[in-house]
Amino acid sequence: MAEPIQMDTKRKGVDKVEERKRITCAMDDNDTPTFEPDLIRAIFKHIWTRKAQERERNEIQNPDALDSEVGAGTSKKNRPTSANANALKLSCELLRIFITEAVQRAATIAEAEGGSKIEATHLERILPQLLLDF
Amino acid sequence: MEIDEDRSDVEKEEEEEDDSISDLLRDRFRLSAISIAEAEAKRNGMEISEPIVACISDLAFKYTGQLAKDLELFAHHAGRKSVNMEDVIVSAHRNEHLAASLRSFRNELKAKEPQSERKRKKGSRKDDKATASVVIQVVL
Repeated sequence: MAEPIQMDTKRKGVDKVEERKRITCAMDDNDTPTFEPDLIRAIFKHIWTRKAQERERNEIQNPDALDSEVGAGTSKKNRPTSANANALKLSCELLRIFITEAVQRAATIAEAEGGSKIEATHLERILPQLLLDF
Repeated sequence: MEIDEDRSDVEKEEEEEDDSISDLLRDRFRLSAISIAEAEAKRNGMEISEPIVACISDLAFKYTGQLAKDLELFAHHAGRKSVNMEDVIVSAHRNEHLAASLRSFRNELKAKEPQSERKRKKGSRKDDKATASVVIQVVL
C-alpha cells in the first residue's frame, strides 16, 4: 500500500478492511485469492430456498396441478435444491475465473492503449464478449 | 380482501428480509471479489480503481444468481435434487477453454480424494495432459 496515510484513524480503517479481507477470502494452493465455498453455498441456498417457497406458494394456489400420483396432495417433497462440496468448489473456481477474465481482458485493452490503470472504458469494451463466453 | 392484504404484508416482510440478506451476501462477496481482482490486476502490472472493481463484483454477483438458477435446472433435468460437478461443467458450455479449465480443476479435485474414486477414473485421465492452470486466450 503506497498511498500516503494522513491520520491514524484512517489507517485503522484501512487495516480493518484488510483484516476483513484476510478473514473472508480463501486462498488456494498457489496462494491466489478465491471465493469461500461457504459464501457461495450461502448465496445459492438463499436463491434456492426462495424458489422452493415460490413453488410451494404456486402449489397452494393450484392444488390440482400435479396431483395424479400422490393421493391426498400434501408433502410433495418440495425440499430446496442443494449442492455437493465439490460442486461448490468448482463454482468458486468458475466465479474466480469470471473475475480474473474480466480484469485480464480489460488490462489487455488498457495496456494496448499505453495506460497503467484499468478504467471504465476498458471494462465496457470487453463486456459483450465476456458475457457471451460465460 | 382482508386476507389478501394480510398475505401481501407477510410477503412484503419476507421480501424485506430477503433483500437485507441479499445485501449482506453481496457485501461479503464484494470483499472476496476485490481481493481476486486486485491480485489479477497486479499480476498484469496494472492498477484498478475501486469503482471498477465494485462494478465487476456486482456483475459477478448477478452472474452467481443466474448460475444458481441454471444449476438447479440442470440438476432437476437430470432427475436430481442435488447439484454436482457435472452440472457446473455443463453450465460453462459456452466457452470451450472455460469448460476445459473446469474439467482439469475437477480432475485435480478428484485426484485429491483418497478413497474409492480412484477405481472409476480410468478414462478421464486423458484430459489431464493440459496444464492445471489454463489461461483462457482471447482473440480480439
